[in-house]
Amino acid sequence: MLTYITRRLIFAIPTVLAIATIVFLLMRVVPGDPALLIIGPFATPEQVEKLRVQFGLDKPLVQQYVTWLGRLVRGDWGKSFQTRSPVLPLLAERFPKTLLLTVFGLLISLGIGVPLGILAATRTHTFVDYLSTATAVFGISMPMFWLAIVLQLIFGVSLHWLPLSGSGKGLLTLDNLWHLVLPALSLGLPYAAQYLRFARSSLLEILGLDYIKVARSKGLSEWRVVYLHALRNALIPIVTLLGLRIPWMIGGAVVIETIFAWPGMGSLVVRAIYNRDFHVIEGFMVFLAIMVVLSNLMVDVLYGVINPTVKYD
Amino acid sequence: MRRLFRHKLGVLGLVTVMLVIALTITSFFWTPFDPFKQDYSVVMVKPGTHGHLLGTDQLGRDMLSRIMYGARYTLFIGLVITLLAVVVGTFLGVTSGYLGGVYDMAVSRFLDVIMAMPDIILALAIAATLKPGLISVIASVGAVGWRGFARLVRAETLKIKEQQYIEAAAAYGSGTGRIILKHVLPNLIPTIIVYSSLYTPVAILVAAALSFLGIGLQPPSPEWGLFISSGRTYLSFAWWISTLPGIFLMLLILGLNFLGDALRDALDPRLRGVL
Repeated sequence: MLTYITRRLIFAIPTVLAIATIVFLLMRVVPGDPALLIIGPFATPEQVEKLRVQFGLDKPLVQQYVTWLGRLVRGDWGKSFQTRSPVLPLLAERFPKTLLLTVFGLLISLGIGVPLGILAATRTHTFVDYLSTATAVFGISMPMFWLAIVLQLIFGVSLHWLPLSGSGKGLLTLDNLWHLVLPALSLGLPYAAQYLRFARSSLLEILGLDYIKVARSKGLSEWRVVYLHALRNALIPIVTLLGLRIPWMIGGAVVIETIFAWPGMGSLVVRAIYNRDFHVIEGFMVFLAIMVVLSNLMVDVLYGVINPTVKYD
Repeated sequence: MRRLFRHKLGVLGLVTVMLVIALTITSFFWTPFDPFKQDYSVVMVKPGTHGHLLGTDQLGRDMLSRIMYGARYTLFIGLVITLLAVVVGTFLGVTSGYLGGVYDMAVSRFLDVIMAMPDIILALAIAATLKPGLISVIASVGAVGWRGFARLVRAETLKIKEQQYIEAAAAYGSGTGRIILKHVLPNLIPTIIVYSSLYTPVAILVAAALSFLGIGLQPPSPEWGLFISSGRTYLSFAWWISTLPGIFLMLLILGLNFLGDALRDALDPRLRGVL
């Protein structure tokens, strides 16, 4: 297992590099002179030229790339135009709050989606099943930012139960967690719907298989059949799906953070986009690439642990 | 029993989508009020007052008219993005699947790398480099949407390639291009249709999210995502500015999802686990 992890980590590096390269090209090659975009349309040609030299944009692309890459691996991810502070520490500082939001969102979506999906699968064609399925389809179709606003409306504006924006002091404090409720719900509920559907169909498929019939005919209690035998196997594809969904959750977190003024990386990046703060955008993309690769690896390892037939060597 | 259920849902979905299309077409001929006319005497009135069925926004503009007008943008953007994604994705998928070799390897590796990143983030990055507006929305989401198509089409092409009629055609002396056009592509059509109907709602959502964040269409374009974001400031006393457009958006996406599910079940039930 350890060799597998090491091998995957080594392979992860070219993947991250590849994404970083794509980001690099995106920021420089796409139509629209980056210097012009940064400085705005009211600058004189001399100012634009000065900026281009300052950012090394006048040098050949390959040379820019090599310099950029060299700086990247050394930890120099450039400086934010706005705050004039280095990008990497800036991202690292805001990362914990984003991680907190994503983790809780994931917990909510799994905690609500999977049990309900199981419930629906064990009671097919009943009212419970139809209700869950209908709710799930609604959840999938709901725009996340709209749900966030509706939740704000109900719980923040009308009922005054929960705060509308910002985060509390500290990370795992009660104050902070209280502020986390609405954002995490907005992030988690739509994905809960996805997990619900998937858990339901996955379990249903397993329940239709022969060995389940055997277990039942052996006289095992329904409880044992479903929870001990079927569920274990049904969880495997759910875990796989989980791995694919984590990057999407991070994407959703960007929008949620903006709505709730949650001080994570997402709101930072959106502000950076408004202000054409290119280094921050680049840094975020590379950071995200690393997180995506790592989370994929974690899920694969988890998969190997859950599914004993899969052997990694 | 379940197939019938799905079938009914599919019809419901179709009806919903048709309704939205009907609203859009109507908007070309008639709207209750002028979508752009600001009337300060009726600023932020509740739905139902003075003939404004869905209320007015912060500048006194009728919500229903703006929503009807805005439907044009949503549908247009969704359609164009999907078309773009289909064309690029199918081209890359078919060529890499059929031709194989180094080209296939390169495309597959590239696909593996960029498939990891979510649509929204990549679209954000692309939109960051372009001037905000209609083109930037279509370009950013379209540049990202082809990934799923490419992967799916490539997988299907690989399966089709193994069929005997392809071998037969090649033995006849048909050129590669001819085989692709006459034999491979027609068999890909059901898959493409199903995936398109499932992708369009995603495209619409991402485009709306971009506009919501302020990176897509700009005010005063009456795009639904823009409404939802501009209404946030007035949430406590004029909740309808943000919530009502969202309901329309949700209904459209819901309808498209139902339709897509039904199409998938009808055309290729094998895909149920995949898509």
